[in-house]
Amino acid sequence: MPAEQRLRIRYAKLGRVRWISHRDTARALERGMRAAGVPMAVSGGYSPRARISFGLALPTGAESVAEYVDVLVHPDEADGQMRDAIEGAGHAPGDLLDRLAGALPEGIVPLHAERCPRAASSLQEAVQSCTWALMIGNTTSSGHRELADRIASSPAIMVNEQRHGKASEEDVKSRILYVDAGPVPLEPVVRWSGTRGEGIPGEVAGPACGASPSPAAWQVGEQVADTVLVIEVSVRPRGLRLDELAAGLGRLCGSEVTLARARRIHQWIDGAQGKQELLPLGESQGRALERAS
Amino acid sequence: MDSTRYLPETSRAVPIRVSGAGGSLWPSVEQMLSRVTKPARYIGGESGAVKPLLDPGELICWLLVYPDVYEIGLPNQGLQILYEILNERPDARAERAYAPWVDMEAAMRAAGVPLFSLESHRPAAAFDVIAFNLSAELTYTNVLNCLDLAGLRVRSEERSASDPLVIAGGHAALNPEPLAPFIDAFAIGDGEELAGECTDVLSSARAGGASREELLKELARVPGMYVPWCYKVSYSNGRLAAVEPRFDGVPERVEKRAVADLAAWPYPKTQLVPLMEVVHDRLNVEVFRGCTRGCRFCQAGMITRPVRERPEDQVLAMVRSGLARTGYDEVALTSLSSADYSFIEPVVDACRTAGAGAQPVSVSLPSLRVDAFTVGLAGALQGARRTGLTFAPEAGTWRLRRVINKLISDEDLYGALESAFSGGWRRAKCYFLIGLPTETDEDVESIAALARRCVELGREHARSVTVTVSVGGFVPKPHTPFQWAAQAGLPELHQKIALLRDSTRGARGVNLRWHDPEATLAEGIASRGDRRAGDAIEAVWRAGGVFQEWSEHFRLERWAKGMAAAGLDMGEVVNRERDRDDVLPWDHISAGLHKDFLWEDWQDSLSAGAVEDCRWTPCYDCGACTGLGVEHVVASSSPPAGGSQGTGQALLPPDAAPPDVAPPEAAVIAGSGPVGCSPRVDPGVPVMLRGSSAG
Ligand code: SF4
Repeated sequence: MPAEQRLRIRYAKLGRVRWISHRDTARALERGMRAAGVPMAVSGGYSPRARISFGLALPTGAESVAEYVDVLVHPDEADGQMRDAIEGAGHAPGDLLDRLAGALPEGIVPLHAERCPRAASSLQEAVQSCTWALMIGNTTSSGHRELADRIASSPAIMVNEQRHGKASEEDVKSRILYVDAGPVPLEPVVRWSGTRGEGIPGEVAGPACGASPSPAAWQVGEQVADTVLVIEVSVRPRGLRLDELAAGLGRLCGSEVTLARARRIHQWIDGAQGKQELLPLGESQGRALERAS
Repeated sequence: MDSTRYLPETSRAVPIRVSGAGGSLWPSVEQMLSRVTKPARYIGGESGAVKPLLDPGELICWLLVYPDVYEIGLPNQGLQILYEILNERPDARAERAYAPWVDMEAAMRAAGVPLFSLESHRPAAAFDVIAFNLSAELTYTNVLNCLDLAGLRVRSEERSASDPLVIAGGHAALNPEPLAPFIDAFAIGDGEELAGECTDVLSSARAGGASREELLKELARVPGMYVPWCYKVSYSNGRLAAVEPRFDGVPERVEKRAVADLAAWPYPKTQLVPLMEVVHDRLNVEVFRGCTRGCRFCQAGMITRPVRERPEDQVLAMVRSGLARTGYDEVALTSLSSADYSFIEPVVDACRTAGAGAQPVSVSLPSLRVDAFTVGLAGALQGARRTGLTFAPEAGTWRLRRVINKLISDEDLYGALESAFSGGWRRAKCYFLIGLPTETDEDVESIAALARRCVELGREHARSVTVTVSVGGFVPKPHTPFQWAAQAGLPELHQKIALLRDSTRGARGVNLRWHDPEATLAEGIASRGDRRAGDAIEAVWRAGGVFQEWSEHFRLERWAKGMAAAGLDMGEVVNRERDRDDVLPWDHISAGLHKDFLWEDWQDSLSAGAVEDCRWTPCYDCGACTGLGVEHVVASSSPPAGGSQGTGQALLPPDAAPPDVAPPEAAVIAGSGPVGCSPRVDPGVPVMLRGSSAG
């Protein structure tokens, strides 16, 4: 085994923690890895930094079940259990994920970890597109279905752009690769993992995931929907930001469109079998998720 | 294709129970978050926080409030210590709140959402106690704003038994009078024991169905608790004449509390780890409390005597468990003057390798004395990361440093910077005060000369070095020898700043920053005012003055109008030198220091007479040890390298020339925020009050 390994970790960001920025998420992950005993490699120089790199930024306020981080590790410097977990990553990552889950803030849930070749392209380079589940403000399930049809059938989706200080218009339809209305993505449970006060009567696990009344519906305020917009957008040559998308949909509908809830559900790459999720979740990862949550 | 398009169903999140007054406000709060800056301020969920609890039953519920924005308030150690101590009690529960930033406040008021706790997102008014941490006087208007946002009347006398009890503590509470109209009870001194004792009083008051007045009287009998309602204030000729008890059993003088043995209080055990960036974002471990260096301007030093050290092995245990739990790679050893800690070198050394695995740990000592340091310590501090360095010489000349009893020689400072620059640092920051007693233009100009010299020293090691000179206006503080001093007026402070700007103009590498003198003036009102200053503070708040520590929200005009409305004269309250027989607004509060001792020291200062640190030299009978029945707990019987005041030489007679002996061994401090030594607002925080100009 080479001394330095590259580890790719898929995680979810759900519930209250969606309100922390991408930068704060990065810092939380770095601290969490240290607390979990992940033996991160460190850069040299006057200001040594952990050698960790993050994928596409997730906008503050959005949730995700498909976030990624790459980290360089020195398995030799880890304790035995952690070393085994790293060297077995992709087959039996349970220990790694369990320890990480215990060290990360409530709502940041590690789902899967795999060793990947040092030479593999970076997360930022590899990802071609991502899929969002979006709940549009003041819109019912059937409203989401109508909107999906409208997007699919309209020849152009125009957005205003500020490029190099100049205002221009752009048709972003070609960057929308897939659109449909579908059932809401199911909720993994994010349990409160506060460190104190165990056993006090009257406690609740939550508030988590916006506290849906049913896993088959999303609720925001008074609004409930069991069918939401599922939309895949290209990230090349440039990502389509959620706020741009919302503005474009607003122009399409002739009224303001707000995102009541947004969750990234996939990040896609061109893999050996064609288009595939960066790290798909199999059976065993499903169980890992259950343990982690 | 990914076979699991959606995540497999596990089980369902338990929905929040939204009930009447006491239920969670989270659903309403969350609706506002996409429209405010830094929404993470309002979500809670930090590691170390207690779980949400919506039905606390019979528990005595405390809401601990830091009256400034989250990223300033979260790291506050005092608040975190009480949070843990209360939550460890089977009969109590503590949650936290911070002042919502103006955008959030506007959204809350528009939606009718009151101040809420971060754990359960319950409304503040549903708690039994709302307790404020008073670390800085300019946050006072935020205290009123928080009470108002909680849906409470701001004046104590207008609240009823069904309202929460409003308590305040912290350093600024040592002159409680300006907030006395609004606060039901003040906790004076260390809060570790008081928090529990107050909980006991509240429990029995609840069990016995006591009225609000009975409860307040009962609290006034707890040593260290000051209940303004139990005291009568009289004035004569427009000046304060007396503050006297109205009831039997209420003490004439409230003595501050001090825990005797820091080792008995190893808190915080589970420091809160914020989800967003905050000031002092690192593991903080308190190594001792109190300071006897005797700097005459320093309220923190005077009111926290005597010195109580934490045992070395406990410090290390706290560092190890803290690093392992939090994942931080930086630890700060906090105190008012950490280089004075008896075990500082071995502890710094041990900290560097206390992280998990081979991860490097950087150590910082946020409270800086340029003296009392050795090369070994300097080397040890060059840990994982080289941040800026901070020094606090406070005054430009040796003469003036003798007046304020900050006995650092120029050579100490040069020596410190020399080893910093040779050790690879490129930026240093020096704190100075202007408007100190007896200060002349020469003293002020010398600040610029010191800074130029420091840059020159740095140039020998690197092309581009910066020395930032951060200048604050001096505010005389209660319970210090300077409590009688005149505070410099606005024109004087402006003139001194102009002088500094002139004398640093064109000085390459010198960066001048200053605090707004107008804010210094307002701080003077809140620091030394009597109970009538409360009217002015209320007027400022009613005129919209919140976040007064933030330049974009500060307007002196509001304070001037507020003072006028309260019938008070700015010059009288702020700029007048007090006489020996003046009744001071805090005379009925004791920090353990004899007033005679302070007066003698004030007189000595005017003749530039210095005193040595009483940890190692004979006692001056200041009163702190004897009166409190607590003694200095110092492991080392010899003073640190560099003499008892760290100058590297015996104290010279008052008229002696500045010493030109070789500096003590190098003095380098890896510092970040000034948590301790003469605490001030961390200039790393954006948009705090200050001006700046690059030389
Ligand atoms: S300024 Fe620092 S050294 Fe001086 S008394 Fe205050 S805390 Fe102690």
